[in-house]
Amino acid sequence: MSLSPSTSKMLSLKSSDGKVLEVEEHVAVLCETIKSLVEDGCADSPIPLANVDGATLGNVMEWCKKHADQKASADDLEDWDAEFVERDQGELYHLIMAANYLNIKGLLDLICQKVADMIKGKHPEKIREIFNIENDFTPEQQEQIRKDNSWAFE
Amino acid sequence: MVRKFLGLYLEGFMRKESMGVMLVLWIVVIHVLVSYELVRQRPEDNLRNVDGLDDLFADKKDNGHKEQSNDRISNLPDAITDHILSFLPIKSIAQTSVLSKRWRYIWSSFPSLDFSESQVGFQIGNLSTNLHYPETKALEFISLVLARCHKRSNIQSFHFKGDLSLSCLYDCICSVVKHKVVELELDVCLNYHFDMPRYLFTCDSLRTLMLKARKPSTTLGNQKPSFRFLTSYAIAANGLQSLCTLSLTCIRFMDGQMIADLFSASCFPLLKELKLSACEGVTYLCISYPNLENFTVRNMQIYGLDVSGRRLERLQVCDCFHNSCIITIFAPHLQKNFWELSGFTEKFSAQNFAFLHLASFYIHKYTKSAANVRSTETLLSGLSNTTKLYVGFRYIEILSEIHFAGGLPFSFDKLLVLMIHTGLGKCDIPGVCCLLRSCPKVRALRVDIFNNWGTQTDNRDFLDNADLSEEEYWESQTQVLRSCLNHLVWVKIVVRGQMIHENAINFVKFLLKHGSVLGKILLSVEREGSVPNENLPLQELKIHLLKEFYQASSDVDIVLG
Repeated sequence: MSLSPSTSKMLSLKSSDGKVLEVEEHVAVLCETIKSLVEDGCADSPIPLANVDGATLGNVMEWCKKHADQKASADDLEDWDAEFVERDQGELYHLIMAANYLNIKGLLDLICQKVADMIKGKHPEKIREIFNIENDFTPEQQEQIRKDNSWAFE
Repeated sequence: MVRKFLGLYLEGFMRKESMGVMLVLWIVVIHVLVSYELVRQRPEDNLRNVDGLDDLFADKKDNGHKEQSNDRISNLPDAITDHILSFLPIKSIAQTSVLSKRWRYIWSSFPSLDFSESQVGFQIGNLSTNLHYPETKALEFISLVLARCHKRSNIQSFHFKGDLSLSCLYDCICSVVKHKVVELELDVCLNYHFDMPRYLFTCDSLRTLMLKARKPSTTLGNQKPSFRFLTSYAIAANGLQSLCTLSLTCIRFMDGQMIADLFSASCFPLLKELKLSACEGVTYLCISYPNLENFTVRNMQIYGLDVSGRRLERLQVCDCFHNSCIITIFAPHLQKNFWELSGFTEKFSAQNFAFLHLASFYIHKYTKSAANVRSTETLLSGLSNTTKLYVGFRYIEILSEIHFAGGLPFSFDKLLVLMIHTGLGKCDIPGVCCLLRSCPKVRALRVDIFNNWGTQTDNRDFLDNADLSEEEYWESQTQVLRSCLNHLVWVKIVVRGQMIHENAINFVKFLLKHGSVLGKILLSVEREGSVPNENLPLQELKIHLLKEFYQASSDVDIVLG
């Protein structure tokens, strides 16, 4: 099966909120989930993506389109990706879930790296603040965990 | 509902009915109000326990604009939080355990524990200062980390590099086996011998096992601590049935008489990759795995090597053997073969490998003998189907002898890429001729020239005996090398040192004069360190002069790289 841009046909993707997106096949198949549907010949009618909303699907396909572009250089992609992940947590969350559901390793790695960077080198209190994590430990419990993992806090 | 009960209560109050009924109603009202309150609060309280996807929808419908205020990261499925954390060093991951109960769970079930030195920041060899007490306090925490792992969680990979007491090492191995480890790498600085626990060989989940013992920088006397691999344990436990990759460095095999069983399919039926390095306790290595694809053996003193692998694609032998070593190789699908720094052997038998792509030969030293010449011929004849060949400079010297004895009795008919490592001096130019003559269809040639090494050899200046200058010698070989010269398109010559010396210039001149299809000659000088190249103008001049020479091919590009 040829997936080159010149012979690529269009696929319809239907989001959870009923929006239909027309995407070139060679772009859409960056999603392993869609690729396996195409390979099994189940991609004729609009493909229902029950776990991805329209706005997120648009963002995901924007990423796929950039990464399906053969002409884009590695440096160019890196800069573009860095800009792409500059989003609020809500959007990042939906992108992670969508990348996981659609099985796009490159996008999942990108967003997970971004979130890891948000955690990296920060004190637990700061991490709680950034991600709005509620501390459900008693002070004694928290002290015990610190003690158990003292090597990590040295 | 609340209003209904309130209404009933007020009605009852108005009608002044008995106190008993009122009490019952009161209780009902309070009960209902309390449960209503609970129902109202529950969705928020339980949000963190709801599966991530449901949460996604709940948010979409209810409060799409208040997404920032939610703790989304804690609601991600475990697999995704694990993936996020995998981008962080192990210390940062462990620190997240104080965030909340959810995060304490994520840490206790985190599947890939990498305690290699770069991650944790501990140096190998620290404990050498205190030989009486080998425990280094800093690393004992690892067994505690493993002991606190969630009971039902599996460990995908465990990597450790550094100092560890023997008891802690033992505990670690037992813990990771209990947690069904898939990938285990231990690179440990040992002060004493360590026997691999019998328990390890019951680990059916294990697919990759890498063990490396290091010596502390100072050890008492000649003591050489190592991992002791008790062959009988492995065999008694039926080996490791899922193991695909096994890499052993500085391991001592115990009960050597059973070693043949260890290196056969009965012990590791799925083994694809095997690396043995500096292992002891084995003198005759007989390897026979049906699925083996990649086999490396280096730095071992063995007297016999018998490799049988129907699927073997890559074989690398470095720094092994004694002179009387017996070697047998059965590998019909071999694609890459490296033979580096290994001694010579007369008893070499291998069938002609049909799919060989890269064969590499490199040795440090050899003694001049008819036997060595014969074994070189045997070795090369086994590789005559290769498409790519690398030959080291000592072999080139032996080939010089073969050249004067009439050349190789076979040719590399499929060879397209030839790489040689030579001084291109008087002692090995005949060897280069010998090889080029036996490569009638070679298209690309790379020559790595080492200035010093070519002239160091003693009394083997064949050209002086023949009373020819290098230039004259090359010229005299034109007819013998005709086929090669009619195929050679691309040549790269790399000179180590400061200058492109005369040997290289003479060779290029010869190639230019007779290479009928030559397209490109690339000359480059690789200097050691960062010494500035003061001779650049001189080299450019030389290249310029080269362009003036007679060229047999109509379009040759000469480039200084």
